Amino acid sequence: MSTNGIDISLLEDFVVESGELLTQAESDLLALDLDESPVDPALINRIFRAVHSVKGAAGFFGFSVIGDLSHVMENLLMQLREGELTPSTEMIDTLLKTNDRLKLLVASCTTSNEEKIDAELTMLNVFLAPLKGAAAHHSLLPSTKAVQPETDQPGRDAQTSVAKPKLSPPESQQDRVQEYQLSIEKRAELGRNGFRLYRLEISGGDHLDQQGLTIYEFLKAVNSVGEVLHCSVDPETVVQMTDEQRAELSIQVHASTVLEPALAAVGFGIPADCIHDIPLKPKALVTQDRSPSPEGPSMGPTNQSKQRLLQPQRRLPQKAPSADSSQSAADAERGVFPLQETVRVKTSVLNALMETAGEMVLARNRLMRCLTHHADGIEGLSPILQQMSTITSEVQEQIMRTRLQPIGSLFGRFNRLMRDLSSKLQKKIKFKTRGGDVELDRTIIEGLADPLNHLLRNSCDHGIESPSEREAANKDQEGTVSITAYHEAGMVNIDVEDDGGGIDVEFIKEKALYRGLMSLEQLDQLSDHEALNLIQMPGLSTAEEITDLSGRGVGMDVVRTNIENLGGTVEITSQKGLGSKITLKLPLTLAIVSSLIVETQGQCFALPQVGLEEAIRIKPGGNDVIERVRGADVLRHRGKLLPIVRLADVLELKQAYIDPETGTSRPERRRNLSDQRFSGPAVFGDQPEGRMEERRRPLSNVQRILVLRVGRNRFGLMVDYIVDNEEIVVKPLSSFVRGCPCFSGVTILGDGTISMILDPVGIVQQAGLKFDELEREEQITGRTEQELSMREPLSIVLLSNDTEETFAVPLSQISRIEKIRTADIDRIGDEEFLQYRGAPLPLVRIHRYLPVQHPATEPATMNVLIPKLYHRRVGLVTARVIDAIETEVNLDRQTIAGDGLFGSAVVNGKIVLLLNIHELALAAYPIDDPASGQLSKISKQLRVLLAEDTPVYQAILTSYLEKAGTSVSVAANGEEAWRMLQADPYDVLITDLMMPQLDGSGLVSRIRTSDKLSDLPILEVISGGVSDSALERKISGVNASVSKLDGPGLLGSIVRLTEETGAMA
Amino acid sequence: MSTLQFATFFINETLCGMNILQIREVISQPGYSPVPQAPSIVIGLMNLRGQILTVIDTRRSLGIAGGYDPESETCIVLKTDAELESHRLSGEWIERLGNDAVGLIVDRMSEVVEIDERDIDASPANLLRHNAEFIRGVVKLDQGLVTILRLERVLAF
Repeated sequence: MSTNGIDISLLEDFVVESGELLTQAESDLLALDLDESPVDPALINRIFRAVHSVKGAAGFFGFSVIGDLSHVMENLLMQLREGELTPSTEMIDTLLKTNDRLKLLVASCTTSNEEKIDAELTMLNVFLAPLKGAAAHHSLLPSTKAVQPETDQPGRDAQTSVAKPKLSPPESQQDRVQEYQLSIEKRAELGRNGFRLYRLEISGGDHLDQQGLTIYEFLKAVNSVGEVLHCSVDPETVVQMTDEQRAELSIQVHASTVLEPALAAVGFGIPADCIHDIPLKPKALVTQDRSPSPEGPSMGPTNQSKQRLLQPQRRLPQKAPSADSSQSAADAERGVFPLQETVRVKTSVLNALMETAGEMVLARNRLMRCLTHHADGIEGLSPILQQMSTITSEVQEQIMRTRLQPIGSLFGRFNRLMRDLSSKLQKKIKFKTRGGDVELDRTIIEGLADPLNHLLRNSCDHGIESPSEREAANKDQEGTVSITAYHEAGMVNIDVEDDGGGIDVEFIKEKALYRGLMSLEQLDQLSDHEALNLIQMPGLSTAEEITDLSGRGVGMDVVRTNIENLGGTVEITSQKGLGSKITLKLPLTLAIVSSLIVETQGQCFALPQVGLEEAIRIKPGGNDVIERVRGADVLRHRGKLLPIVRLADVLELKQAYIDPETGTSRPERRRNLSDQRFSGPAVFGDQPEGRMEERRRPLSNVQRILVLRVGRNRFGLMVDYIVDNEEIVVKPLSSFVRGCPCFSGVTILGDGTISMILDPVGIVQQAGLKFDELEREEQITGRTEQELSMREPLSIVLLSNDTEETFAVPLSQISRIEKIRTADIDRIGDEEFLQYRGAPLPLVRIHRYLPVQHPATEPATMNVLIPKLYHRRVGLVTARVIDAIETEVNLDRQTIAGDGLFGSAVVNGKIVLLLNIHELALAAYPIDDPASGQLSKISKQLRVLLAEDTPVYQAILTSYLEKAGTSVSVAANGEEAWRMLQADPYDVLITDLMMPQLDGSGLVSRIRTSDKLSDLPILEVISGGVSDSALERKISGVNASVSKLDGPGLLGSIVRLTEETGAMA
Repeated sequence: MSTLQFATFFINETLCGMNILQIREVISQPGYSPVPQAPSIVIGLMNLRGQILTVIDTRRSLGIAGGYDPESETCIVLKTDAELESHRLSGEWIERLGNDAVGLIVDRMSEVVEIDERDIDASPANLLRHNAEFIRGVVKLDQGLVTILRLERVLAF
């Protein structure tokens, strides 16, 4: 057979599906636990089926080399399955290698028949049990032993013993056919494994001689796509016959294959009417078949799909109970096929859909704008518009979701890498993945493969120490490397963690100095955290020596560049001796970008929010003043000099105004100069009412500065107005404007106007900002405070209920923010619920539990914040989400206090109430709080020492602890805590890790080595946004770790610890 | 068939023409947004039913001073290479202009004329003699002289 005449799309399917099957086989091979005896038969079966399916399809296309290799591999797997062989590490390695080779062959299948596979065959034959091994080696026909009927051996081996040609009269053939019955067990097994059974009725004249085939060639063809179970005549006899005899002869062959009847006919090379499908489960047998299979849950039976060439077994949920499978078998017999769960769609189609959906949204926005004025005039228009608007949004969202893929598909690839690495490096490494179901745009997933590969290699190569080193450091011999994916603040975070030796900060500093990247003074100014992130600098990380000596960070700059290209960021944390964590923060999708629409000189621009840190408003006479330092504008901001770039200058926009007298300074046909005026609500509420008026006089004195981060540096971009927040669809620049450095793309705004998308990196280049000089200047003026940089800023989300108050919630406490229609809220009695992800979500309204203003009206759409609560599931309802910012919060716990509040703080010049979501939820839906209940049982008041340098966390933690009835003393750094511990007795120490003077791990090791305090229970608190795996791993000497914002967890841990150490007495 | 349809239009009172096959559509009084830092021949970008169209200042490109009259200015939207592929296969003389959506601003449109390819005279018209590189040739018609533009050069920046 050849590929001639075979639909090219079938061939594509073959390549894709075989690739997937073999990938699955690879991970199954890796999952085989050799210590288990016998090895998991379900896994072996799945591998067997995958290889078998590939063999079948390869035979169909005539890829004999692929067929041969998979055939021999299948033989080995069959012997494993039958228990004739016991798997060994070497055998699995060989199977993995064969699997790799098969993958390569499949990928280049059209030329695969010219490839040599002798090496692989020899390797495999070493393991094949001797008897069948010989047969398999000599013959490419599969051994039919496994499903041999109790009648004559029709296989080729048997034929050699037949000395004399034996002419079988038709009657006796007929008898034999009657005799041929597959045992029930075999039938069941075939059915379970997705095979079909066919009876082929061919005539010696029409199907053999006229096609120029011998019976052997015919049987071989059948074997190449399936397996011959029985042949009604002795092949040798057929060969010996005269042409006349053969022409009269009718032959019946029983064969099993995974192919559908139509495909089987093509595969066997005979007309479809010669093929008879034999039901594997005749009705009489069904009852017997119900007996539970010893091999565990059964796979769906015969035909899952009409379109698929190969059996899609891997897609089927394994949990399908066997009763169901007989049901679906019955369905299949009646011609009812189970619904297809997945459909293959070309990526280009998805991309086109995505783009069209984006345009549909834009068109919808324009239509809404256009028709809202007429809504009163035309009866019934409003609800239709509303409905269309909702449907459009839903369609867009669903289409966007088609592009999302679970990241687990990517994680799966790394199992092999880690296995190979640990054996190559002779280290014991346990590899864990978590959050594989987190979904990301497929473009991003593809772009993540290289960076993650790199990070994992680094972790294994330089992070994890050798078993002996680990033992010496009092660690488990086996190191752990983990990848964890989780959602946070609308981004997907991926943590790559190891519990290895960590990164030596001092060495990095030395290296940076040596390379001339930074001066000694500059380095002294850096916090450890900043110094760690130096390894992302190109000059430092590509240096060969750093890997050899300090052991970390080859090509970290490459990783960073890759991630930044995907719109993400890279963050490194490490504790020397304890391990490292690299966090990648990525957007869900690239096609739609959340942006701020800004205006300068009458023109609107979109600024992606990825690098946007905050917006500053500067009023004349205020505290913030723009100064000129060495000819450049700078703003003193948070103790640092922030270089300022005027957008109008960098884009060379002329300072042009319409002359109020003549009104004709330049042609005003350009749409977004005029029409843009009244679009969108003001985000920051600082736009003057009549902006048309304002254009006729010089711009107001208020200056708006957007603080942007580019790599390690920050700068402020000065614009005239901040117009709106908008989700924009990014479109590429045409070749004519691609040369403009300041733009990364173009978009169409909701009102139909075109807006360029600003590229902060290009702006920095265009403006010629020199951050180094500025840093030097900073040191001269000496106004940076080192203390400040040590403090952890808090990321908060600002909320408004459309009242005068502004609320804030720590970002790390929020898992999702959903936009909902107010009409979708269900009320049951006093309580409110939202149908969310298939279950009712109890809702909490801030004003019902806190003494704050009640909103006068409710907008049609609201936001629901889904917090990461540790014990319950609620949604916090708020009218608007204003912004998410990272800032230092000086929390005031006295002025405004109450249950459900951490306190108040001044953020961007406004008083903000910092909500304690846990307490709010508890107030709304009281349940027994296990921790505080237990704590109250403790007879004496616990004395807790809290070592924490960041004021907001000091306040939050103190609030938790005091409300639970403990007495809390606070130390602002490790040294202070140490002094306090010497002076007074404490029942438990709660400590932060990152602190000035003496950090957490230093403090802990000092305590553990002291005589007096070595038994003190120590609880480590970790800043927001920690993954569970980070909590699992604690630094040595610490009794427990808990997230700073997990109040119940904190109290629970205290109770447990004090019980253990007997402090309760 | 040796006669082809040509669309004619005015640029600074010069009657110019281009093969009508290259035109996707014609938009009168187009609105466009300027692009800072863009090459000078790019007058702006336009939202053409959700597609971004790069709009070329044809006067500027040909080195002719002056602006357009907002009342009569017109944008000729050109077909992209992909759209023209079938015509090119049939052997017609059609320029390759790339796959960006591009529009040309002209002073005003005129009529569609039938032109025999063989009548296109390669000698440059005196009105645009400084711009010979932009001109494929001229054709004498009853209405006067039609200058056939070499679009490839007009779009070069």
